[in-house]
Amino acid sequence: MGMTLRFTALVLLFGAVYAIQSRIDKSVGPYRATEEILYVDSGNAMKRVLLGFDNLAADLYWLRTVQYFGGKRLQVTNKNYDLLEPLLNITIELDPDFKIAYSYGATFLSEPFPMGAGLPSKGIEIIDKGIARHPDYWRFYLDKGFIYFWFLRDYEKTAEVFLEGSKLPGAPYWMVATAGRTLTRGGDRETARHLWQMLHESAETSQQRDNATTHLKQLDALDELDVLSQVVAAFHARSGRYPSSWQEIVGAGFLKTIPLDPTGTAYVLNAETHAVDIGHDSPLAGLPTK
Amino acid sequence: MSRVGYIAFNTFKETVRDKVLYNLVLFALLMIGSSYVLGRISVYQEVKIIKDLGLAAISVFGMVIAIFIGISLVSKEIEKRTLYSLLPKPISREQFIFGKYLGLCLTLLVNVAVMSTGFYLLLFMMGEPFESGLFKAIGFIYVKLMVLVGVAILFSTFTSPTLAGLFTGFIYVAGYYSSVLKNFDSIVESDFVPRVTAAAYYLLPNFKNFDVKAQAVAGAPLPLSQIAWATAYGLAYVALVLVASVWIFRGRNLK
Amino acid sequence: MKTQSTVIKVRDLTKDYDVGSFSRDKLRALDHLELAVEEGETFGLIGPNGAGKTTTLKLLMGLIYPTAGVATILGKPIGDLEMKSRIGYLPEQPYFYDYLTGRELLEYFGQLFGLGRSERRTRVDELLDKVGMTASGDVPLRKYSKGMTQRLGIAQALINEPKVVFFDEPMSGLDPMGRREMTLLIRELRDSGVTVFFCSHILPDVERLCDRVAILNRGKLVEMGPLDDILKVSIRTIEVEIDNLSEALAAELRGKAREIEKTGSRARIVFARQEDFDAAVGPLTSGGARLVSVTPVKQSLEEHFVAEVSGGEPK
Repeated sequence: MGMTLRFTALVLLFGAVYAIQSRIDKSVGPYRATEEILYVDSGNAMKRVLLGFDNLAADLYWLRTVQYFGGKRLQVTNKNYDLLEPLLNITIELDPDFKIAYSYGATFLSEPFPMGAGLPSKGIEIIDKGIARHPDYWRFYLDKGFIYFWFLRDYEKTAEVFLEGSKLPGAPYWMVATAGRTLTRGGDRETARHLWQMLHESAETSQQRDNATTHLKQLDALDELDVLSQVVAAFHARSGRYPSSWQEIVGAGFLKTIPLDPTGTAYVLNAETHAVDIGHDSPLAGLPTK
Repeated sequence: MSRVGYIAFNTFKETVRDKVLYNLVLFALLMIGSSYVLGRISVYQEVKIIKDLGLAAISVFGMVIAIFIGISLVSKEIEKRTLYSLLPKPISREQFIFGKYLGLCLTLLVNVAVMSTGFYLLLFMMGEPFESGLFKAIGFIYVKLMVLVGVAILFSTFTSPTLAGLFTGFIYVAGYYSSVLKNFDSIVESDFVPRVTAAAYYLLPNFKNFDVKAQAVAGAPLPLSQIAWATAYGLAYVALVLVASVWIFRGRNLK
Repeated sequence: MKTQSTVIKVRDLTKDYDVGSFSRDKLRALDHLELAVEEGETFGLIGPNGAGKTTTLKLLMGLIYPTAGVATILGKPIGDLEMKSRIGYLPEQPYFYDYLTGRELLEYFGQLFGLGRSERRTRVDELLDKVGMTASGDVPLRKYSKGMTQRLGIAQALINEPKVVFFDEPMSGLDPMGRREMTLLIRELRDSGVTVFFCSHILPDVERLCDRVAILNRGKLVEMGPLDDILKVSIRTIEVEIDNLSEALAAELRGKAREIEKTGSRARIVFARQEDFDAAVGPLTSGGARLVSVTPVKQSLEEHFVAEVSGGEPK
């Protein structure tokens, strides 16, 4: 192999490398280009260090995020929700495709204390980031609509979001119907029940299913509490005083046994206020107030 | 040409029997296995973590193996003088370089296959269906390793084993950052500097071209054109590096 | 002199190395070497350490490139693939692949020579037997002793039944038994018409085996030619054994002879020069002494070599 031949071969090959790289860069488009500008920002700075293992790091951040909720959501230990938002933000910056992080993150942020951070507006922010990244992902609209419905009680907004989401590919058939119901009936219990039933149907993981079931049970408990309130009122009407315990009511023949909620925990009768409520140690504690 | 094949096969035999290699692969398998444990405590994300960790293990250990065996290539042969009895045989120096390269690619292939099998086995045990996306990601990892081994050979032709290993590691890192060099004109106010850095950008192997792990795990589709262009890049770069290696090696006086 | 049977031809071969920081100085390892080796010869290249012997071999094998000069083997330039298939080479302190076995290494090299599978197998078995390594053929090379490695080195040099073999210190690492075997092997090669070119600093071996030698010192060729010619120049002394040396005769000879040693009736007399002996013959025989033996003692190659090398130091 003579010198000139070798040199030519090297030049040609380098030319090929250059050409192919340019072609690749062109096809990846503007997204790549903006990513490449140096910035001083924690999520992106970290990306520089990670050499392509960003999404793995996102997993690890998610793990830490999850630690703040333990295995069962009702184990109330000292949870520091201040860190939740930054952790979530880093997770989704590292791996913008980590869809679950947006969905569940938003929910955790929105849930009232002690199950979540109680910051539904922040939850909306996170979901909006998800939507910006994945504008065709119908589930984000479901998550967002749900936050408006359940935590923010903005029923007009709920309907609007559900309607938008229903147009996306893959959206379940009931989103339009739910939008309609919410618009006309607001946040009444039946609509809520309907929503949870649909969520139960379209759940993708067992945790999502269980979550929906729990909420359905809560709604059932609310129904039962309404009935129990009427029972207490009837007792009062009959005997002229308020009952001090369930035994009295049972003894008077209004109920057959001490009432239990759908999880089998006894309801509580408050002797002073005469109000009925769910047991404090029931898995359903923390009922929505409708 | 079959001589290249013989050299390749014997290189494969030689490297595949190295105990250190076994340990590395074992480590990788352990890491993949442990991802299962991590997955269990993750809540909602077992499978994603396993996929991410598994691909990461294959990528990192593949890189370590590639550098390790890459430097045991020309550098070690020269230091240990095994070349003294090999080169006087009826082979050319080109055949030596190409044969060595192919042999190393073969070793890498076996190692990656073993790690991938462990990975897929774990996924299978978890009830995950076979995903072609993951397979493509592993394929890309392999192409990336082929480029890395080529770089290791290049350095081996003119430096000691330790330096060759260090330089190759450095190039691995630089290859991920290289895109930073491309857009210097938006940061620096000069005419000359961006040209130099742009040249460096094209000269360095751009490993980002092969980085599809996130896409694969998220289940996003990998278009054929992307696969084709990235592979073409890999092959062109390998050819470039090998020709340069042959050039340097041809002129080299063995100590 | 170019004849058709010149198998190794070296002309003006020079090798400089860069030394010092920024390669300012040059070390001339080989200075315009000129030699030719004929077919079937056993040729020895000798010299002290650093003389350039190994450099010459490395240049011939294409492991390093000359600064100047030309060399050919079997009429082909260095590096020619066809020519390389007809030669064999044993490097100094050979080192092979740790993880192959002896047998695998020989098979590998056999493959590179283009030997077919069954031919390879036969050849490998033959060679392992020839160098006494049949038992260790399947042991990994990293477990070999120095002697075993050397033997394997010899085997790999012969795998292709070469026409010309190049040995760099073939005896190194071998025990006395091994050296004897190696000597026999070289003789065998010579008998079958193979040209043998080897470097050694064990001069008795060279003396025993070589037809021609070249003496190198500090990169320069000091002397070259048939062994006998080189040594004929230097007949050193004449040793005579006599019976019946009378005291009177002894006294007379004392001036002419360098050494007189009496053991019983036998005397050993050493004359410094041929002329001294010639002059003494008459008186000895007429003095009643009986000549038992007359031995011209040639300077050994070693002594000659030391004299040559330490004497006129070439610049």
